[in-house]
Amino acid sequence: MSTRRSDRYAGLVDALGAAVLSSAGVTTPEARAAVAGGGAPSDALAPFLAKVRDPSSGMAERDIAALRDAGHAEEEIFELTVAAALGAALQRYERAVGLLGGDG
Amino acid sequence: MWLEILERDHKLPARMFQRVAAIVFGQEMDDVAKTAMHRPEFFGQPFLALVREALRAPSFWTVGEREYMAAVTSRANACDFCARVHTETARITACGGVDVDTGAGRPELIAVLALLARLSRDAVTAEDIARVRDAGVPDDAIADALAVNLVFNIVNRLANAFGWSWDSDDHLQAGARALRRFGYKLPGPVLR
Repeated sequence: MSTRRSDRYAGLVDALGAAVLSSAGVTTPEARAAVAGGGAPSDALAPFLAKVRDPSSGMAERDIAALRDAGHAEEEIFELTVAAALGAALQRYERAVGLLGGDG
Repeated sequence: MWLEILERDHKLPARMFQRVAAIVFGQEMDDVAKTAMHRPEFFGQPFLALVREALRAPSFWTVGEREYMAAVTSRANACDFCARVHTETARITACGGVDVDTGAGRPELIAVLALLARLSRDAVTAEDIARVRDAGVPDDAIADALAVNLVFNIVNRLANAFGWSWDSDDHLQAGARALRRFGYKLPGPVLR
């Protein structure tokens, strides 16, 4: 159960999720889905993605530079960062919307 | 920005649009728009569709109140880039709905802001939702506020990770005026 307003957002949220997690890219949809769920495709990427999920972690240019130096392409960093940000945000949103629908 | 592709890798319509906008407004386009125009089918196009619905569609909340929710969420997420521009946008669009300097607003807004700040940091509970309802906020209005919070929980993380910044206070003010005037709309061809 969810409110009618939540339903209006559901289609837009689904479209965003489909684009970020399922569309063609330099990374696989499986990798992006894993990142959105809190995982990391490699140990080297794990600290960076953890920083993306925690917005007060003090991200700095050197964090991106370190990934580039380790051989990660900018498009790969872009896709995985968006997937991590979306996953962290959706986790909070879906819980709150569930509470709103559950006892409303 | 810390990724060169977001700064420079855009299709021809987006590159032309940036040149024209820089001449018309006297400022370079902001980093949000540049990021949205990079491979727009992957993120920018569907993201801005959600943003327009959450921030500008008819709602229990005024545009100014929703811009202030954006600023409060951004502060909770330690995103100075977004907090500054949405505070300024709320200031110039609020129409008396909220005082951005003191945080004063109607009781319904104050109740929902507490929920949003908490939601950005912790897992909310049914009691948190109940407190907002008790303040007289309808469920559809809570859903609208949650959508604003979702947008900024996404975009604050991108701002911090990609190093979005304002070149100057004039650049920031131009960004706020553009949000008031155009409301998160970019021409269709630059998002294709």
